[in-house]
Amino acid sequence: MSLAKIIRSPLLPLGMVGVVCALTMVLGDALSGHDHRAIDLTARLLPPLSPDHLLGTDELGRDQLARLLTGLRWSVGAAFCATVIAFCIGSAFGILAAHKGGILGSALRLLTTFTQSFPSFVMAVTVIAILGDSGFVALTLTLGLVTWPVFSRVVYAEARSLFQREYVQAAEMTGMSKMRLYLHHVLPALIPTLSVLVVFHFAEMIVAEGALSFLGIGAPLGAATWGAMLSEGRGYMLEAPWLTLAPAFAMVIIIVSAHRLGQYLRNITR
Amino acid sequence: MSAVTHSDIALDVKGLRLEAVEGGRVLVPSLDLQIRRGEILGLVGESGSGKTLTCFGIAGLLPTGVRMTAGEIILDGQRIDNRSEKEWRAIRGGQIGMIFQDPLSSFNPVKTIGSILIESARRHQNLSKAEARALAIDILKSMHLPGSSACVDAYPHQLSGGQRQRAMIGLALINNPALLLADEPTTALDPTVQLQILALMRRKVSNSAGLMVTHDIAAAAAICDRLVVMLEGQIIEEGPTRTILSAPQHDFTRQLLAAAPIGTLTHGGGQ
Amino acid sequence: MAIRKLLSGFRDFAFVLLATVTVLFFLLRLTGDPAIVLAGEGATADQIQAIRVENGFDKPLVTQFVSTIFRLAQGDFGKSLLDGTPAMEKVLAALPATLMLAAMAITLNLIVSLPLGAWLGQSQTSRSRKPVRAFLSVLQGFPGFVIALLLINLFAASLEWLPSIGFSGPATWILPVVSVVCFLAPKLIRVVEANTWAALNANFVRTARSIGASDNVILWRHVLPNSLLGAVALIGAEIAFMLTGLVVIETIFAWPGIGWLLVQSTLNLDFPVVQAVVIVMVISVFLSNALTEAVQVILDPRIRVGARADK
Repeated sequence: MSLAKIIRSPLLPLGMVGVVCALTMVLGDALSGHDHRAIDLTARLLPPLSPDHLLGTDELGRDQLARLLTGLRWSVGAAFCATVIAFCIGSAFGILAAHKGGILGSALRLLTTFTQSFPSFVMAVTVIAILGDSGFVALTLTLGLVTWPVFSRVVYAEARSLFQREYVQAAEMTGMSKMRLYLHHVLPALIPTLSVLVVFHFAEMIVAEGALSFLGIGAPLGAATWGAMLSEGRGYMLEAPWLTLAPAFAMVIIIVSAHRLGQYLRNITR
Repeated sequence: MSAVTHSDIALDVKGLRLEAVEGGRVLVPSLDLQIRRGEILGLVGESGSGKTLTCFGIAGLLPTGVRMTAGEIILDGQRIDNRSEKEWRAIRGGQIGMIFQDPLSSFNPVKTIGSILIESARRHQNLSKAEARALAIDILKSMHLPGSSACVDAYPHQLSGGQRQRAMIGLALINNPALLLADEPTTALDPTVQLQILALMRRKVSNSAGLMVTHDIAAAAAICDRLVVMLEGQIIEEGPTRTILSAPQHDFTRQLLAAAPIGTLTHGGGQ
Repeated sequence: MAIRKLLSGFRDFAFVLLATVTVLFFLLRLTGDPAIVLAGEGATADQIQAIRVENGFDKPLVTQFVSTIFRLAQGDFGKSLLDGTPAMEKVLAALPATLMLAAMAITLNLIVSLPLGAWLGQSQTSRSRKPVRAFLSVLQGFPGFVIALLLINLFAASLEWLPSIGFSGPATWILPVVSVVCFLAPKLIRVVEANTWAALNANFVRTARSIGASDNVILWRHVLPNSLLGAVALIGAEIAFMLTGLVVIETIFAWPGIGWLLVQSTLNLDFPVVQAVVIVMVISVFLSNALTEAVQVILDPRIRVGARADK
């Protein structure tokens, strides 16, 4: 691949976002040169491009860039884990329901009707409250547990037609174990659909995590998550608009990149 | 060829040249066609031979990306290819009626069969809504559609394939066009229905001219007076149906004839 | 046929309602001890115990569950633990605000999205449409509440043109409605665009052209009815979404609808109100889905009228 081709590729901006995410998640505070928790009351509400503080500081003088990067770690991590959980439960249930049909199939249909009308926010809040602490594990578990029917619905529909296909039926007749049948013959055929779904779901999870921590649910108090930063920044919209703008645009960049990747995957797998 | 007086000729295509807009690839280099009044001409060839493009070119309905770059199209003694889009709209549906291949997708699924017939009748004849509706019912009746008055208010999915194609022929003929263009009119239909539709077309074209585009030489032989065989944008053979069936000159024509199901090659045209 | 469909609809409705009540009951009991909340801060153990007995919280969960179902079946949704007003009364007082926001948002959404989507769908290559498409695809990346915050930042805080929060007259409606529309419109525009493009390239358009119809007539009489029909499902889904999904936007704008009430009562562990809100949400989503399906049946002859018998 020539350099010009790489530069014009739609994947270049996506790759750059990916590299930044990966670097941040590995390096953390080292990247910004500040501890995201360090309070400095002599340097409150500094605007962006201040010496020593590239994106300025918040009302307690904490470095905005350091907090943004910590938030990235949290948001991307939480969205990723939640997506993995939803993917695993959802596709397992979907494949099983498609293969066994009967009660599992009707159960899935009713469950889908139910989750479509039951406000997921209530579910998320109560599950977090039950798990007792607002931490990373509680948050990701909740998001995953609340959203997995999205996957099972799609997997069910696709897998059902798959089990009618001759090559799957032939594989089944050789008497291989169910696990092997599902993992080696059914799941691979679902990858084109699932990969697109996973990417779009990841974007949804970024939004959901942001909304929850904006409302003060999910992240521990005072944690540097984007939702919490947006919520704190609201009080300083006039004096320090960058406190809301920075996390807002960070969130949008991740979501738009995920959408782009999803569209790209959809185009190449179609 | 016997002396043909000018007024006998319904459609005269001279040196029609069709090119792709991008790259300028020549799809039909230069094509001449004549159809007399009361005659049906069969334009036969395999897909990609340019026969359907020629048909759409005559109606001024070339797909985007294809252009007519030379030639003349003369309908009833009047040149039509150089007309404005507005004049074209009066010709299409008025002087030229068209029948398409797939009668299901060619009707709008959310509109009744009658609504499009009424729209066409009112567009080209000065009719009230009620008059146009009566005309639509009449024309459907003459197409031997069972329960014609109910068919006017039926949606495409409520009719069978043969019924839809009868309605499509009715739509093409509702304004008594001078020329009927049919693009693979029987390809999407069952074999038994095909014969009925062909017989209907034969009867209805008596006082106008017909051009039937098809890859099915048996269907063409059933109703066409003359055949034109196309290969890669060029006419390779033309003549009366009987002659071509009995003594094909070109290898490709022989292949087409050999591929047709045995016993279906009956010449039904010419009365 | 129609009766069977109606019956299965009722069965689904009954199931969803029962499941909602069950899930809510156990979830809410698991989150904390309502007696402690009810007693308020600084209550003694005796006081808490008294409240527990008074409200029946000391009985086994199953007994409580059965009696809850019975009371709900009789239309008794309990009283707010905060101020003692009947829970359903609170919800019904908040419902109009949400319905109003939803109605205004969906109206504006349709006014913006239908023409824009139809315009975009007419060409895939035109230059003037390219920046609009790019803008929409970026806008699609903005979460609803982020749009709300940015709009407040610009129009309320910096320019001081509009009030940022509250529910007191048309000026306070603008920002919430615009936020919701910015969030919903890109999806609807995309669907209308795709449907218009598909309809424009359908065979029946060629038929319309063959009878001499002009481009304008083709667009209005032959293409748009089809492309709008395809958008009905999404419009229905967007309405259903607004009945449950405006939680964060209502909270940001202090818009006193059921989403806002849900957040307040969830954070206060006001179980009866949470329960009543969720039940109202589930019912309204179900109704809106049923309505969408009915509209589709009415508009689409392929569903409305079956094939003729004499085929």
